[in-house]
Amino acid sequence: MNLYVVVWLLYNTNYMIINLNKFGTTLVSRPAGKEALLAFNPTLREVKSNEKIEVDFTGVGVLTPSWADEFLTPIFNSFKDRVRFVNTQNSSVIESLKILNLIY
Amino acid sequence: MDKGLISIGKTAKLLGVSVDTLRRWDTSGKFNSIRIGLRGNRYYRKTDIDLYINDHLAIVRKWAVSNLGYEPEAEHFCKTRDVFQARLEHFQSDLIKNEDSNFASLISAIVGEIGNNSFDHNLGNWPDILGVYFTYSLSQKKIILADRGLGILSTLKRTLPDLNSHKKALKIAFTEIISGRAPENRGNGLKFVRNVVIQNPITLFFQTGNAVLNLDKNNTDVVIEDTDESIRGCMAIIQY
Repeated sequence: MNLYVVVWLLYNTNYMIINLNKFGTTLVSRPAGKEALLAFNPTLREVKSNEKIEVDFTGVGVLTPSWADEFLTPIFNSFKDRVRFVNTQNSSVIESLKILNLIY
Repeated sequence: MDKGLISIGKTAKLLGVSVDTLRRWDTSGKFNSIRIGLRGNRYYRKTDIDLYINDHLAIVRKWAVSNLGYEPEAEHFCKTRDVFQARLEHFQSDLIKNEDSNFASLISAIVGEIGNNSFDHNLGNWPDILGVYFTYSLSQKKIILADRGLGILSTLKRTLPDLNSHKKALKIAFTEIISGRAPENRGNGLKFVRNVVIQNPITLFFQTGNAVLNLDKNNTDVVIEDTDESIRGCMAIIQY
């Protein structure tokens, strides 16, 4: 792929951005994760086939595998390589994503 | 002023209770302050605070082993998950003032996993008292969680009917991805707790029934031991 194509893709790929801090900053329990997904499902149904999903962890103070497994695992299973995670510097985010095999 | 004296605000944070609670305890004689100045501001001795915290571990243990269930004081007890979430957020906001934010996030995450496990696995099945005992001391860097739930053995028996000891159940909980809530795909929580503990300056004591696990950076293997004093449900002590 030449540089021109890469730049074109960068500017022309549409991303639906999920700002996780809109669900809270201490994302811990399974029921809360499940409820977040249920509330967000109508928005997810609007994702077009050529669109990708960007999950932004900015502002998340605490994440556990329980919350992530209820919210992120189903999204990852549905959209697979169309999902990307950004701003994952928080240690609890990294460790939770690792144990769920969502990052390596 | 005496360096061993600590203000009521700081004492409240160290003990994880409100300033109003400390005022009430002072009035009732449960935990006395020293009144200083014209306005009679309340201060507390550091030694009294440390004594109270150590005494608290004994109180939690007594509650966990008691044959007769009773509800502990509301200040340290989370009867529902919502109360636990609120107290966890309060704990996180206090912890982040004293510790590196990444380290604080890991501590809060493991406390959240252990506390929520109690609610996840006992929903609708609590033997006597619903809820989780959650108390902490920021000065001693110690967190205590306990429940009077079914315990890990009874929970895992639903999925593994041949399981016959607390020791085996505790080992499985910390090493294998098996959930007592099959066919739901769960069971990562305590593995996550173990990963975080053994990679950081954290020690974990975890007991269910008569089985005990101690984990830290130097004890990374899941070696389960017996203890004479069996508890109802689960109890965890986290130190950092």
